[in-house]
Amino acid sequence: MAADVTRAVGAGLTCRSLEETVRATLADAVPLEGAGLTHAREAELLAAWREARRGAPA
Amino acid sequence: MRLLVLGGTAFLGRALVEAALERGDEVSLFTRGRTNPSLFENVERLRGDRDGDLGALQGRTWDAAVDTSGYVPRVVRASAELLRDAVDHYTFVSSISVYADLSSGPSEDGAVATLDDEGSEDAAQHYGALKALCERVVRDAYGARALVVRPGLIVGPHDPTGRFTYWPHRFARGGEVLAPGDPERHVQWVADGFLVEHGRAGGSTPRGRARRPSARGWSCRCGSRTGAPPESWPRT
Repeated sequence: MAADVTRAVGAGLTCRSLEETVRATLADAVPLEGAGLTHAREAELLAAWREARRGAPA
Repeated sequence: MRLLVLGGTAFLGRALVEAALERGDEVSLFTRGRTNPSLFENVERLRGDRDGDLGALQGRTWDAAVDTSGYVPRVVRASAELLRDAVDHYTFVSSISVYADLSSGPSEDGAVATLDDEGSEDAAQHYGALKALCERVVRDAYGARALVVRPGLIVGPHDPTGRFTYWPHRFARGGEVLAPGDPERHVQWVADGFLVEHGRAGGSTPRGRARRPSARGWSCRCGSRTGAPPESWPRT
């Protein structure tokens, strides 16, 4: 998606850096249970992905 | 400024109230009293229900109202019409989901989603189309006194979905990180506090294309920020 924000930028919109957003998120936002993958599920999927790559043609 | 917030105890509304109090605004909250009832103890709370009990709003005036909790046109119409002569300005927080087609970049003049049955109030099923109808209600009631904001993905400290918050914390935990989708696709979001500032500045619609990163770029920078740069990107 690529929205044209020319008018908004002209009206004063600025963008915050990714670094600042990450820093603020780590400082102020608590991870929510149920959002994203659990450690176990992520490990399981990564293991399956590695296994699939091993069997894939070069 | 005397500010009325319809909602104001969760996520974006909460950030808006915090910002308003910080700058010295006199804030009134209209809520059902169910969400975070102990927040903002020194702020006036008007108890009621947008769906059928607006009595607490009657006979009062404010400089501006912000509607962060409107999802159904019938409900938005009731408060918009009641407050038409009671507030000077009305901000309605809509959504980028109003656009009928998001497969390419939407423009402000782009077509909005419509309902086959305009009587439907199923916000889970027809979120974007209902928001579009709510926008129309607000514009009809307030004309040039209305500001309609169409944010994309809003992120922030009290995001009830956790869909953005997960990633910085996940990278901070370290190790190999599994991330979805095409790593070259662009990602966009707007922080709640940021949206509050720009929304209040008047007239802009912060959707942030400038310097929009790819998913891979965002992950690498997120990872380096947290000390855990991604090594590879699983693709399906």
